[in-house]
Amino acid sequence: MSMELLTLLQLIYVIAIYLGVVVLIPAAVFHGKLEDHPFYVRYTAYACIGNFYLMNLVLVLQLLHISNRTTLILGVVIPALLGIAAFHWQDWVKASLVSAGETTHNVIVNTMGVRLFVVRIFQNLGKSVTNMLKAIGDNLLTRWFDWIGTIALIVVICWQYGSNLFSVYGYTASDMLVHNYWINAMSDNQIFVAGVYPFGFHCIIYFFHATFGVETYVLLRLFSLLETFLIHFMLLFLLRLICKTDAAPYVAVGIYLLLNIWGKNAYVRFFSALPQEYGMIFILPAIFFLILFFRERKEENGEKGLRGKKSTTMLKLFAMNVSMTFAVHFYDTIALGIFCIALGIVFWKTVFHKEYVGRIMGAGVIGLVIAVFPMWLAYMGGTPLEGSLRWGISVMNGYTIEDVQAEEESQSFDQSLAAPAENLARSGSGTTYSIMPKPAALTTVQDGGNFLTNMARQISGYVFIGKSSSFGMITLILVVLGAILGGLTLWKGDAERGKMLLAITINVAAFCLLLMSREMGIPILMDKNRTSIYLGYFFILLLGLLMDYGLDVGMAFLEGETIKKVFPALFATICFIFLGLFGWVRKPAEVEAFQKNGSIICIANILRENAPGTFNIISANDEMRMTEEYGYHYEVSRLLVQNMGDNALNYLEVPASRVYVFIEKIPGDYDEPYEGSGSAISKASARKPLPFNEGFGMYKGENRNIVMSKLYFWAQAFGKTYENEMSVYYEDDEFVCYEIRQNVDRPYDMSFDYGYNN
Amino acid sequence: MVSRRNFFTMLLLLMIMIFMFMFSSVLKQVLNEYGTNSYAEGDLDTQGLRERYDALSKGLSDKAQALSNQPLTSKTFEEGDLDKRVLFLSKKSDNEVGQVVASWCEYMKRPLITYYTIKGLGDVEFTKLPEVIIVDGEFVNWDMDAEVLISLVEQGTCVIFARMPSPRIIQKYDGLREMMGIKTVYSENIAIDGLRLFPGFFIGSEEEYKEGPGNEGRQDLDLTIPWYVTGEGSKVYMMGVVNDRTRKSADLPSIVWRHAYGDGKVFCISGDYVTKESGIGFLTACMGERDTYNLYPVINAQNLVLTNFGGFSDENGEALNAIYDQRQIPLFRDVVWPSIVSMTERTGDKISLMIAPQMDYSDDKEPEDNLLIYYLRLLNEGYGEAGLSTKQFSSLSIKEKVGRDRVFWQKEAADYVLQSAYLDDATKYDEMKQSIPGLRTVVIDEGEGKPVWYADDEVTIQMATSDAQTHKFSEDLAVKSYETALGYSNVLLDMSLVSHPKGEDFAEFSRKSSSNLITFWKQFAGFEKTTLSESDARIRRFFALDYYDGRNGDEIHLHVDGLDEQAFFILKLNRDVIDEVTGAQITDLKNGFYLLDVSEEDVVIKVKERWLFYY
Repeated sequence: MSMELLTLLQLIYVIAIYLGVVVLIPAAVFHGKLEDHPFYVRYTAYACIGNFYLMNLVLVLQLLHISNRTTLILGVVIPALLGIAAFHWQDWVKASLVSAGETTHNVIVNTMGVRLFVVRIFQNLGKSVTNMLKAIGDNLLTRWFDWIGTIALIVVICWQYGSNLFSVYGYTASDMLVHNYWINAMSDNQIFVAGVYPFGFHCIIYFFHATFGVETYVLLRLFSLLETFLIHFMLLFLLRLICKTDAAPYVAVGIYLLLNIWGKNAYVRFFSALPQEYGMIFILPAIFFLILFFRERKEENGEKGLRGKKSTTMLKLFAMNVSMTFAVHFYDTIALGIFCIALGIVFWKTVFHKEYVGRIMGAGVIGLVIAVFPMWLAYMGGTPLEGSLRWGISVMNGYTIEDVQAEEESQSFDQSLAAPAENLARSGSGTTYSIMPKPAALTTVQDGGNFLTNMARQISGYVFIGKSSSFGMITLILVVLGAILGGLTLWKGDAERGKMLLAITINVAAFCLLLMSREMGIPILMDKNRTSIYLGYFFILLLGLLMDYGLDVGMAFLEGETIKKVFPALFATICFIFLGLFGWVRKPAEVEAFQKNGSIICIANILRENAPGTFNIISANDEMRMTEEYGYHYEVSRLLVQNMGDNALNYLEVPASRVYVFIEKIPGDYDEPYEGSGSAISKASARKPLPFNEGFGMYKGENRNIVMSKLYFWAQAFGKTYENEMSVYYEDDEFVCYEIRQNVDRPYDMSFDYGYNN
Repeated sequence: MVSRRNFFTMLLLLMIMIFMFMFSSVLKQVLNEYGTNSYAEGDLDTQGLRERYDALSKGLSDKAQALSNQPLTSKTFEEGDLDKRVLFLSKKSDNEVGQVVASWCEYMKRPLITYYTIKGLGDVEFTKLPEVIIVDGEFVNWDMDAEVLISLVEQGTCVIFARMPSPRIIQKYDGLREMMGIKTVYSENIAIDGLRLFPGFFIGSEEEYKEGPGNEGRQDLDLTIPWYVTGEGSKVYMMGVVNDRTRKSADLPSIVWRHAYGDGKVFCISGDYVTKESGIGFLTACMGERDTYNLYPVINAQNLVLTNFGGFSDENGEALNAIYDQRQIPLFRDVVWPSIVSMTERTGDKISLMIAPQMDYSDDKEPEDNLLIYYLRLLNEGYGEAGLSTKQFSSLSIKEKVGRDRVFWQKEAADYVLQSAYLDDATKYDEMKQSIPGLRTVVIDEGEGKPVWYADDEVTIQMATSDAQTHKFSEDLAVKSYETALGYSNVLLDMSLVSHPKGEDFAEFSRKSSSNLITFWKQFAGFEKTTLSESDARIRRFFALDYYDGRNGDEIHLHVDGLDEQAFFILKLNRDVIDEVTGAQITDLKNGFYLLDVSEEDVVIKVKERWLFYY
């Protein structure tokens, strides 16, 4: 089976189980509660409940140290069944039970034959399937525009963000290994193994790993596409909620996905399964439910009335999303907070009304407390903060990324004296990518010019591809336009629409200022790379709403709903095609991974062929986290040190009946370029002294080349001695894996003179 | 009241039922040609096979002789001579190790050249190096030969130490020690607690030869050994184990190991394993680990021989009555035979029944009529063969005993061709042969000699490789060794212990033999179960064939000379797996061993590297 096919099957499975547990189970329980809302509201609500429940279920079980497959399944199934029984007893549960009881009784007392019983079952099943197909058919006919738009977006997302998964199998961000490590530790009920850290993302991945047996490395490889789907669809749903026209949301998200105007900073993280991006799927739903809360309250009692059930539901969903942003990544909470402040400013009359203020503040605080409390408890219990939290705080205190990274490296160096790299949970969230661009504006921002010009350059450099400030200037112009249009709309009396446009405009403006926080001397809430992601994301909201205004006015002369939907969509499609012809439609980015494809192919095969605990992988530390629960890992630095000069062991055993040696023939530089980056291993590199005592630094830059060169010649010498016992397991141009077969009760001595033992 | 129509219908059904059940039994009775030996291959060209064997033996001997007579210099070695030549380095070639090496060379169709010294080989060119040198370490002049041997190994020769030099010699010669991969001689003589045999060396499973629960009374291996600690470049196939669990496995004594030195390989067998005939398996196993593959001929026969099978006369009635409350005839017919059939149904063995109509000719208990027919019929139904047993408790000569037995046979089954016999005293072979015309194979008890050989032009000898009643550790090792070298086992079950018990009753007898046969032979299920006549035919064909093999890329070629219907080979693959075979059928024996059932003279085995499922 090819890796492409395996990836496809795994992807389908991962998406199916995620949607099944996170959306379908809550839908089964809460079906009917939000009946009068459109599909996207119901979907968002179910997904919110599903994620919130799973995160907190795992958290509670972890804190109780009883988290395992059984407890997790019971923790989902029992409440789901109880929920279904409680909410739908009168609807259909009671009737179904009575009917089933009667049928069983009839079969037992022979008033119904078994044949008839089976026929009835199939008849009922057939009826259900027919009804479902009919409902889908009806929905297709009535909501055809949304179906086409949604399918088109799914195709584009798969193309833009999915194709990379089929050609690059490794982790595309450096800190995914660290997350892998933390998630692995959850199998031992250690949720904060490396210190207190937002747990939500890890809980979700761990849940699907523990419950469905999907390897964590597979989930981390593929989850990025699912995240990206959700990120874009949340954007779409919010736009659908606030836009008047049907086409504007799809066109706006299409621009976000297709136009070749975005800097890689703005979207490169979508190629990796990372907590911050997972948390992004809860930012807009929080706003979404807050708006729905305002609407429901208004419908229930006017703005002065008593609280109602529906509005409370929306407030609860808002609180859950607030909680989840913090539980997954606190940057998402910051982004949400800024958006909420923008909403608060615009809706100040409503928000600060005595009937609202307490409830909204209460919901927000409760949401935060739910997320913060377990972390606070752990911290008070003596678990230190995880490095990246310190990193985040340092950024807020005004350190540059470079300062923090330098500090990290010095820390790593100190730690490495006591521990090999495999034991280092790399602190900080200095996530790196093999293609991480240097923002164009970084070099030009100091070149003088006024504040607005500088800001435009920063925006252009970080969010867009332009080296000049033109995209930045357009952004600022649109901000101004948004403010004017919002004001005009308010003045014209369309309060909610005008306020939403103003709130989004203020939010985008706030992020523009955040990008300039260092230059302005205001508190730095987050680093510029991350600010640019949120700015790009929120900018689409502004653009979408402005387009909605445009289409609303522009289409006024057209008659008929269909033409109002089709015309702009068709026009946008034609535009995209033309832009594509002129190179303005972006091609899917080719994001490189930190591991060679061969490495992942070997891991997939090794896990399939070997029983747990029967194999050992000799490699740099990447594969250790990926296979931690299944086999053993022997770090290459340890092997080489134990083969080195006076340190050489008298007898070096690497226990296991199968030992796999992972060697990169063209080692990556792990985002630390050097003069010979991309060059193959060589005798010259092998002759250089082993760069030990530098922790993870041993596997970066030229050091990785030296280490891999030594390992290669070690393997050659070993293979000469054990030609029958060692064979090539897998080889391509960049990677080779050797398999060594040995008696586990009498392993070979792997310490010997291979010619480069320095 | 049953109607007439229903009555006739029921009657008809009843008759059909009776017919169906009776029919098969009647057919079995009528068509059973129990009076003839279905395993007597009339068309087996025994004479032709023997002639081919003689010619092959002579050819090998002449070749070896010619080479041995030449002065030992580099000129001695011509290209093409080197195919399968074995050099045996020993000052005393006719000792027990020498005999084992000679047997092994005969079975493997390799010319054997014995040298007292190899000093003259020092300047042999690389391409003309001998493929393998077997060394009897106790009988080598190390002052003279150590350096040459080291030099040959460095250049790529494979050396097998069938017997190790003394630990003092090993300690004295650093180069020799280094070549053998010995890091330390921890002790010259020390008692250990058991041995551990790792998988892949012999055919069959891995074993721990250590006394413990379930293994009581089985330890009979020599556990006082020199303690050699091996290190880098070594692969250990058998090691000593001690009860001290704190000791690391790397420090445990190596018993059989391989060490890569220079371009060559050195196999060391510490202990007296190659002083017994079963040592041929050790030499074969070492050759199997030498290269990427090893291909050699085997017999492929697994015999179960029930010797001294009584139950034809009521001898020893008093003793049997005391134990079983039964006479010998019903005991064998109603208890022993069903029990044996039940056992062989589980093991799949074919029964070679060596019948002893009488054991004691001094009493007046003569064998009863019709019993022989009864057993021959059962044998014929259950894939067995009958032969004659010569054991007796009287003072008759073999000729007299066989003469009286043949009278009994003539009366009951005159047409049954007796091809096999059991001889309890090998020295009386000539006497027995004269008494049984048409005899083709003789089974003898376990002893010192080779497992199979030609006794003369007509008869082959098949020595017992083990006794079904016992399975001590040394026997297990010997069985594995024989199976690896020859694909052959010949298990004897002495039924005189039932007719003339010595302490234990049949229940215990049956429990022991069933347990041994079912448990320890399961791992050799890939080999074929045979009767003595079948294995005799295979032995003759095995002796008569010669072969050449070679590897070209991913193809292994085998050419068989003197193929008579079929031949069997074992292929040991160390890196690859079988892709495709032409000219033979293949059976996986596990751990890299394959059995080839060769039906054509030229066989091509295509091998491939293991492929990955995900790619």
